[in-house]
Amino acid sequence: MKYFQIQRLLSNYLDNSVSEQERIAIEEHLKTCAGCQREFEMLQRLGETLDLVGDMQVSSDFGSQVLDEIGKTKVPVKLSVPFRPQLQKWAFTGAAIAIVLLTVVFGNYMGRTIYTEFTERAVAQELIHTSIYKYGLCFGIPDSSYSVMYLHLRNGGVK
Amino acid sequence: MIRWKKYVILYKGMKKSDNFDSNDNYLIKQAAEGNENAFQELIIRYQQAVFSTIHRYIGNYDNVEDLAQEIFIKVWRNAGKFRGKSKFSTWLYRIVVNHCLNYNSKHKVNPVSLDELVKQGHTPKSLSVQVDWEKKQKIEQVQKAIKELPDRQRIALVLAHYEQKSHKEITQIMQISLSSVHSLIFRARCTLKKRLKKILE
Repeated sequence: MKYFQIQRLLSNYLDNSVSEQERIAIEEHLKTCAGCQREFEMLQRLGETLDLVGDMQVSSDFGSQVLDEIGKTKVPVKLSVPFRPQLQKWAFTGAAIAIVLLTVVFGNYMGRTIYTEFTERAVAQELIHTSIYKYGLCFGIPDSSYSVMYLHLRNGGVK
Repeated sequence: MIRWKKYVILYKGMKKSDNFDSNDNYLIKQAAEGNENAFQELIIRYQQAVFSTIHRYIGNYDNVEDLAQEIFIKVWRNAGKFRGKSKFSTWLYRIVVNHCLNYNSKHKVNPVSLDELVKQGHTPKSLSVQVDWEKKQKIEQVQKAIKELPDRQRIALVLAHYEQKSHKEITQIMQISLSSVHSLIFRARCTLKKRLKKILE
């Protein structure tokens, strides 16, 4: 490992954030290189100097103050986000997809059925109108009988 | 004894051998469901670390308590969003770091002198009643030098040196790459060595 590489790694070495291989290389290098030794000692002295800035004491009632503030702002006590939102999310998504699919399939089926029924009805109506015109007959035929009439006429008007 | 009694009340069925991290996860889950006792226990565990990080980062003794309060309120409000993918402490430090960086961008605060600090009644642990003048000067110079570091270098150094976080943990807290962490801390130390040359020699 080269000199400048060791120099850059000394900061990581001080924080114990080097690989085993790097640690061995640095320690071997420090045994022989006065410049890097001085640099490392400087970093250690810097650490000691930074430690002159002491810690700040926490007031004994800090926790109570926080809870009082929470109470004042009337934050909802129970947060609605569950601890397993992923499962709930997937369940809702799955249900929505199922509803959409069912709607499409059922709607398609009903649409075809209604279409077929109306088509048959339309054809029946057309045939009946033709018959009326042809035979000069006047029928008071209810809607529900059109399909029957259609089938009757289709079979050649045989009773 | 009282502390252990609290554990017994809070953690029925849990063994004392359960590790700290899983306890924290249990507590934050309880807090998410509105358990204030559990949340208070978390505050007790982490208040010193939060105070320490904020104080060393902003160098302002007045606002530290207010900021710490805001951070814990944010933790309470977002307790339900903690997924447990990382340690609770990592998640908490992430909130602290983001809060400090946002605070710094909005407020340009000048370091408070130690004389003013004593007048205000905030006495750091490192100082006794009879303050050594030379030591006091050194502390002010160090605080000033730290304060003059760029924000991200400063927070990375505070986490690495004062909070004793590994570089790997800092990558998770700051959500940056390992090489970025190495670089930030290296440059912070280089800058501080230059500025504090007289003290170091």
